[in-house]
Amino acid sequence: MQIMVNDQLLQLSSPLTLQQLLKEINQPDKGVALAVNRQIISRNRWSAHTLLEGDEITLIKATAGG
Amino acid sequence: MLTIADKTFSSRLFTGTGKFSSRQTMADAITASASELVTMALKRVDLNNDQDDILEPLLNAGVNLLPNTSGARNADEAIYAAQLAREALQTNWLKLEIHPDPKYLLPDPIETLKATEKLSEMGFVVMPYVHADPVLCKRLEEAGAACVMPLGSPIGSNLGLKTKEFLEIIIEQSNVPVVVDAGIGSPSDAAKAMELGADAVLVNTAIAVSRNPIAMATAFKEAVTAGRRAYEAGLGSRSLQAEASSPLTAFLDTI
Repeated sequence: MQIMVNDQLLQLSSPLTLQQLLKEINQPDKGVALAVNRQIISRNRWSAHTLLEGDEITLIKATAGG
Repeated sequence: MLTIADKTFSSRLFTGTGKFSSRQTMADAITASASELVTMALKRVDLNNDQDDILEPLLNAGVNLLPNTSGARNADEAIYAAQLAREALQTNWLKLEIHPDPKYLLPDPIETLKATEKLSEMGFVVMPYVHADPVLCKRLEEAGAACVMPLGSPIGSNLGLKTKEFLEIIIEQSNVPVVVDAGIGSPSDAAKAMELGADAVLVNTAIAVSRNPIAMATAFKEAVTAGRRAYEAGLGSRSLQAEASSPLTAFLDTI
């Protein structure tokens, strides 16, 4: 299946949860936020939320700023 | 001690994390500043190249994090960014900044007021970055802002307190803490803001771009402390004429 993560196309061999996706793309789960199709998914639902074909994921992290 | 919402601060200097040459310099400067509240921005993770983890050193420094909504051009975007920030950093504290124009980065007052109303209802501790507009600051207070953050001059300009007279009105009228944000270019600017009665200042660029950010952070810490002490002690009144500080006893008249 195909999904988009921050406008980048990703091929997944099997459906993943958000928690598994972070691991798959080597991203830490600390200091980040996730939205699926612009709907923010809170951290406590990451392991239960399974991604669907064509989902657009936004992965945000904290960075330097004033 | 300064209280905003449910937190008490011993330091009245808040700092930003932008523009430092390295993570280590940033962390050392923040430690030197003794700041207890530190701003951060949000960005999309670059899946191919993302090595700039600055969260860890900040968590190690034990400071409170204040995510901002920089990049938001209207209230809806700011509210979305606020919720992402709350998820990412697990805090309901928020520096609300909405600036549609990248040249001057001046805050949009109408969108900021709208977003403050909504975000306060949603349980955020909203710290809105605004122009030094006394009427707007009162409206934000009524809308539930935890403090107001009027600017001294444009973000990153180091121009100092161009809005001084308006800051004085805001400070006089406000029932919530006033944090002077943006444009503070030197420790003397920070001291001046504190002498006027500001509850705190937020400084980023002036520390980060200094040749020696750690020494500059210390200078700002001392300036903020000195300015606050002077405000509490009470400044003397001003006069256009001289007021002799030595006795005019005419003791030389007979020589």
